[in-house]
Amino acid sequence: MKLATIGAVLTFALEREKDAIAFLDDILVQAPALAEELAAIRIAKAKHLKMIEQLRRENVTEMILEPIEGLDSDDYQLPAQLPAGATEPARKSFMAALEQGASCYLSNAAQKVKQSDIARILKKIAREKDALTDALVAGLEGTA
Amino acid sequence: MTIPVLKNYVNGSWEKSTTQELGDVWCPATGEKIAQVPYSTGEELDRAVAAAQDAFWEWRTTPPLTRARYLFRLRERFEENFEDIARILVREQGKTIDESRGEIRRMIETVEHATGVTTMMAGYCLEDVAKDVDTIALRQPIGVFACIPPYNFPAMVPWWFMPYALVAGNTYVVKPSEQVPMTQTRVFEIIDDVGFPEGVVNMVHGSREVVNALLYNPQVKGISFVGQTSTARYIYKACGETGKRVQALGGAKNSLVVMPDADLERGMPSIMTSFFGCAGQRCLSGSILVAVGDVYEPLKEKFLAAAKSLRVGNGLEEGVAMGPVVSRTHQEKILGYIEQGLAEGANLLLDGRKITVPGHEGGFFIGPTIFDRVTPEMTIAREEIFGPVVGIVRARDLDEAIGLINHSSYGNAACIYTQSGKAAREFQYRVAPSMIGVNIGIAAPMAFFPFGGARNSMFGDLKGHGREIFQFFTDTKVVISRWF
Repeated sequence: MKLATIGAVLTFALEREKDAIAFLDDILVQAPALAEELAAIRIAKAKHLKMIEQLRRENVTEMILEPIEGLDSDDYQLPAQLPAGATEPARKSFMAALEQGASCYLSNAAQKVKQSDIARILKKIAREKDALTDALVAGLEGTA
Repeated sequence: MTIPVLKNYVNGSWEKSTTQELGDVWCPATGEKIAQVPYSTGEELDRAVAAAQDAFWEWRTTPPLTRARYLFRLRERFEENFEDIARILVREQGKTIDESRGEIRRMIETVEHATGVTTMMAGYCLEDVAKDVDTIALRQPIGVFACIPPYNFPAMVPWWFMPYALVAGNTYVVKPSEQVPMTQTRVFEIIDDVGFPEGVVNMVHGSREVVNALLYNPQVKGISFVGQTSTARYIYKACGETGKRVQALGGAKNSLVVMPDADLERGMPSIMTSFFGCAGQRCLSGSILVAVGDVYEPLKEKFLAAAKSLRVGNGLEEGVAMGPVVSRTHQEKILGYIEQGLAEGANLLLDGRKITVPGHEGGFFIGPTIFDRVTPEMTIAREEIFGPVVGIVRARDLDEAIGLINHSSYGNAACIYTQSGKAAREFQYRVAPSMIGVNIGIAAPMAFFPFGGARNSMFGDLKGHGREIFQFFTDTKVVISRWF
């Protein structure tokens, strides 16, 4: 689906985050050993959800009827869920991919939206997701 | 599916109206009936006013900061229920979900602004106006006020007035638009949760009978109205007759003037928003696009291309840029204006009459419609259409453009697109309307500035919100004192 309005851009970001949380919950059930890493991501995600919801509530005050171009939700779908018996490194890679995908979406969205205050927050969240990804990847290297 | 019948909120309780007369509430996107609204009786309105009058003295003697704390709580509850209110609003009014979110934000902003009561309501004093004589001017609340809002902003407009009236120590009665009563009903559920003292704030659904009961109830001290000009004039006259304070905001016919030096690339999004935002159902919407001199061809080309690209549909779908108009009746009225434009010789560049929205065949949709070669004497150039219909008018120069604007009987808003400070200054200096945009398509004053027009767009002196609103909701009592 084309994401042509601010509301659509932010709503997709919210839905993607919520879907990602559901994926992480599944991982926790299958791999309790990852609880610590998952908890850190959950805390970050809760914060990001709140920030995006706040953006949608507080910043959609000027309706700009010039469509946002070049953003399509199909390009940012979550990766396919892992099989139940996946290894721990595979699970960590998957978690990193979730964050990386979100960061990619938010960075691209920040470039497309015209409101600088919205773009700034999206970039900030993307940076925080990059840091989470880096931490997960570093953990992976430690296990290799 | 059961269709709910809405209730009144009187003296801190939900009450079923005794009337047998019910109006239908429609979802404009689907054409389905979604609720019924009681056309309450005059007696029911009088009872709400009596409850408000009974509650007045205790509320009036409550410290302003304590009154403001109710608004702080209300604000928090509005934030918590933001998306819920926004979606109800779209369902009954038709605007897009983003437009609805923007409206709820504006509603909350007036609540936030009103909490500054301790500064804004303060009076003033001067010692020694004569030998040993001091004078103080106090602002005191007056009693029961009421609001009669329109259908285009069911959440926001009552709150242009209500938070200020309440925080100043008055009590209040709202009669929501019978076309869109569900949003304010949801808002009043939140008010109920916040726990205002009984009778301080009340809501009575209804139509003409309730309006007349408000106008002629001697306990109602003032009325804020927003709607069409003929009704605004009627309200103003009746309030004059009965000695009430009144602010009656009427219709509009707003022009956007585009000068040859305008930055069309940067200006086009807000020009589009002005004409097609909320499907043109705003008193600040552009209706006439005045192209000055050489800008005509490039402006027409860009404007047409942008209008063609707008996605029209159900406002609840993210990504939809323009929703339906509010009702079948209004849709037919707009279609009538389009026919009239054709009959009077305007050139139809973009025809929104035949638009179809798949899956929403029963909806009240009209696509962006643009007329060219519109002349000032045509009906579509003079009358308020209140829909997504634009007339492009050519003007030789700024002087002629200002003349066109000042020829109108309305005086709500006017906008200019230019890079010339001199042209902008001359424009704001000379045009009659009261709300002016410079490279802004919707010249909407925020909560802390007054909202209201001139000429047939407003009857009354004091406008909505802004600092001046405390003058409307208070009496200035002057005390001149000397102590021996």
